[in-house]
Amino acid sequence: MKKAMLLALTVSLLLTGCFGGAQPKDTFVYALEADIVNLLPVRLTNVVSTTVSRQIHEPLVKYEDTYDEILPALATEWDMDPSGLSWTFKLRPNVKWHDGQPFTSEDVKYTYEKLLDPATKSVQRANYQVIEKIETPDPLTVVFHLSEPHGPFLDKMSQIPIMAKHHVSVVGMDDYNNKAIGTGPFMMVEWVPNDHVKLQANPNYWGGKPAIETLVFKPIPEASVRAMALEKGEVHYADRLTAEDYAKVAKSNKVTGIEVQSLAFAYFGHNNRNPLFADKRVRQALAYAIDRESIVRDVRKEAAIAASGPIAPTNGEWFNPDVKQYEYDPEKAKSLLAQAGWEMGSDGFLQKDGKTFSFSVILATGDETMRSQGVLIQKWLKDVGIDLKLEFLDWSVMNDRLDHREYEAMMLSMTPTADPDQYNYWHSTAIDNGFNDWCYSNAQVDKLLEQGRRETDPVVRKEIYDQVQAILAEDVAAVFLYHPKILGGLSKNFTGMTEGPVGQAQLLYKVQPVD
Amino acid sequence: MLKYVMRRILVAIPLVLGISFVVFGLMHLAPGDPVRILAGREATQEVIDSISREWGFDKPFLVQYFVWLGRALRGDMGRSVISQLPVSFLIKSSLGYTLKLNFWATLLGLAVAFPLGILAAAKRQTWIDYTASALALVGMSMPGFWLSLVLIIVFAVKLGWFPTSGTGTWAHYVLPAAALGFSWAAGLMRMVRTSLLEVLREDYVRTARAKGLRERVVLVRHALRNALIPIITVLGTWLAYMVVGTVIVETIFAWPGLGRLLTTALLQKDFFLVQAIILMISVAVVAANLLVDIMYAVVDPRVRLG
Repeated sequence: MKKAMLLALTVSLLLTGCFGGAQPKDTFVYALEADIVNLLPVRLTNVVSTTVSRQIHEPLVKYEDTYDEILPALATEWDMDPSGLSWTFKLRPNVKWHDGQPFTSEDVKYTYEKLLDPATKSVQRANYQVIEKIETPDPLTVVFHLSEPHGPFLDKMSQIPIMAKHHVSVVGMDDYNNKAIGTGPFMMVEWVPNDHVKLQANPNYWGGKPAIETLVFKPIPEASVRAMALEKGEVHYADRLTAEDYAKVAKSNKVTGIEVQSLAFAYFGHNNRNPLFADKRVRQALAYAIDRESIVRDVRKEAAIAASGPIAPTNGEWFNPDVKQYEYDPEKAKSLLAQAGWEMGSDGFLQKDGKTFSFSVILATGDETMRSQGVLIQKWLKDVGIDLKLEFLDWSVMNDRLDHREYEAMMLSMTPTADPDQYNYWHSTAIDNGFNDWCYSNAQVDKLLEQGRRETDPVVRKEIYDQVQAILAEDVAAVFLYHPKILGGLSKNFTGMTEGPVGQAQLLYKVQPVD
Repeated sequence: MLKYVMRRILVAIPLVLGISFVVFGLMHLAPGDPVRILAGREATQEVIDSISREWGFDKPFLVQYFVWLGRALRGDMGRSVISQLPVSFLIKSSLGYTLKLNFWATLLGLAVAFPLGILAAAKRQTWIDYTASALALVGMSMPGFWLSLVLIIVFAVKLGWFPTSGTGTWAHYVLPAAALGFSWAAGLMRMVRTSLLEVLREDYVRTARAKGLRERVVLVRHALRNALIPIITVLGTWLAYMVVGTVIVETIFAWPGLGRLLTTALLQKDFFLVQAIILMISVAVVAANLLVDIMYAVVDPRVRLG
């Protein structure tokens, strides 16, 4: 009897003691959807790596909370030469690397030269080739010389965190993760692949020591498990929850729902090279036939805003609200299709020159949202007499098909940068050499995109990109569906998480425990 | 005995090489290009070409295979195409986690399967037998990912006894080990029961009982030992089972093991990483089969090796 009681006591002690979430109050655990790949600033390839890397390394300038303005980070002030051909950055004085060495202009020069060096194999390199030469007149001044004026330049400076020359030139660029050194609010402690990344507060951070002492990133691939770990208090922030899980955790009294507005746009993209879509009235009919409000409400469970173009309304001043809107209107779609010469056949599908209006859309398997969306669109198009087939593909196959432009239509989403320069998406040269998956080609848009890139006056640029947005909408370059929100949950034991539209990388130095 | 083992090992070498060749070929045939995945869709053709050259993907297939094989034989497994980290580092950091998880899953499985199987055979057609059989049926037919999620909901979220996922304390092992061990144990339990029932009908068991031995001695000393041969065959499939189970269970429980490493590597077509892991697994499966054959001889002196 005594033995049994002792056993029960031990067991209950172990149960409460070991699993009671005995983490110190200033430890913050962040559940990611995947493990980091590479933290090296010039080799960042995915959102997860960027999120972690940005806690350690800092760029020259940054966005915080909103995309309305670019704020100082490692640079305190900057100035563009009137010719637009050179940019001078004044660097923040007395900033130290995590190993105590001073941060200087040499580090900035080194970072961008490495980025531009083909041997680095940076996927970002192509976007920075406008940089011709970098000069460092003194330790706190950097001058970038450009081959031509470049409107998106400052935005681009917000994307590459600076790395330490004295360190990277010694330890090398491979196997960097466990040796990462930056100027940021958190310092690398350890990375155990697929298990966790542990960071520690930088006591000498120029912006003040962060309130959380230990920052742990845990990759938990299953979205539902991330939600459960959050509910149970094992993690304090869970990233990328499903709409269902989000609705559940946001109701709990232990979790605050965090909706981060992303710049991404989801679309139904017909291949504009396909003769089926050559007639503008047909493309407009597609846009009228699809009920985007219903997708936002029923599929995304309100975790999105309906889109009218590729630039999100939350993207500072760049969004143009005055473009052609396509309210759900199947009757209008039908009449547009009739005007284009399509006649209803006996089988309920449209006919023209003996051919049925039928095409297939490729979409990725394994994504529930995409699947529901596809099924709904299939139904809506059937309502107006169009036969849509859904072709589900594995990611690798889908990428291949996209690369070779082998599809009649595809359904995906894109995440542009905050700068409206979407040359890589909509310029006709981007069909073969970029991301113009819609194979959209319009001489006027081409000209505007070329101008907008070279223009450095924000007022003029705004006019240019307003026009681009208007033409894309009028033309139905793609059927723009919505701008998704990234859903996360924050434990009520913490505050200070940015709820703004900085979807690419949450800055965590403001997070603090609630007393 | 030693000669037999040596011969089996020699036979295994071409088998393992064949597997590595087939996997290498399949990775090549499968659509999708690791360089594209690495470079991202934004990359220019120039970047893609330079990465391709760097990794040797521009060479003919056979050349690529033999270059890889030559390096692998010298112990150089190459680097992950995606993260550019050494494959050996990635495997080393995850192998331990998988071995530990599989050890506990196996132990748990054995601890459940043997007593339950013996009990079910001894108390045939009683409620004990029926309960055990029902449990086995449930265990065998429940999909691994579903069982894992149910375990998390019940024992981690509702009861709060164990963590939902991840590693750290011994408590982190309980749920994934249970998820991994349970359905395997179910199959094993059925085998123990059937095999034991068959032996219990033998004459020597009746003789043992007639000698007046206690039922427990009859069961364990006389019957079980002779029932072991078919059971060992089932044990032989253990490794293959664990590999498959690990892939699912490790992903759901965010366990940093080999199964998860393999899943991510396959999705990203991370060539050298997939090759190395598959090679390791095939060596392990071949070794396990060899071990099973040797075990036959240890358990049953009638089996001769030579």
